[in-house]
Amino acid sequence: MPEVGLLMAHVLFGVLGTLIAVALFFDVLHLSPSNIERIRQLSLAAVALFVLSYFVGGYWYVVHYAPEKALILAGPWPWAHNFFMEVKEHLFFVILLLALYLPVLVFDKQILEGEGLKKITLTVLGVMVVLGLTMDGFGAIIAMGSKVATLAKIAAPAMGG
Amino acid sequence: MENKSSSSLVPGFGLSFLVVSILNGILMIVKESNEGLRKWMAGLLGHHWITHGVFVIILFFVLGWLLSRVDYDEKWYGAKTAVIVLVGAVLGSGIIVFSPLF
Repeated sequence: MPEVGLLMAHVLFGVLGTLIAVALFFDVLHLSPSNIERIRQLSLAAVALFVLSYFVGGYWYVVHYAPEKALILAGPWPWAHNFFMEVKEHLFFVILLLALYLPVLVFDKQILEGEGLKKITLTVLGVMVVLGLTMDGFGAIIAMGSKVATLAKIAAPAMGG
Repeated sequence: MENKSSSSLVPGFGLSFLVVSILNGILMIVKESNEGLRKWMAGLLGHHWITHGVFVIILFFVLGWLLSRVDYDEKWYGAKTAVIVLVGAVLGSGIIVFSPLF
């Protein structure tokens, strides 16, 4: 079942990207010449992780999701796909765009001058953290939708269904 | 001069994010309600979601680059762009989350 590994890698990259966004938020709060290089390196790591999560998750969604979608839709939680997956697959682009915007901010030569760029960077990171956690929660609900559908399918013959 | 030119990427890509985030939500609604568009997008790159993603990412970079050509005053290098990013995120996400109502 290599596709399960792909799905776990998608989650892992997304969670690590979100954790880096949390770390960056607090690093940027204490922005100074001593931590700017770490901030820049971590921002590139966040971009790499969200892009990897996008490609791995996208490949899994396009190639492997169809049978699971049919299972969820036939199960007791069809809204796990109809709402949560539909929203998640498009909300992901918002967090991806913010991740791509992040290096524009932290590599700017004026970031250490004044509070302006710091405010924008904190806003971007704050939204990334909220969306990252939302993605994670939505993924859990979709997985649960698949699980309850599988359990219902297994239980149906025993229950005489 | 070099600093100023480099910094105009900040408001340029902030504005690009606002526009593309909203368009991302609108495209989702239009695509879901228009089977012809959905099929056309699926035919273009093999799956409607791939076409959607490629369109959104390319538009973000092209629009960001174009909007970075504009001269912005000091206000754009702080709270103004932070609010624009926040509004873009809230509107873009809101359109997607409430899309079943449309």
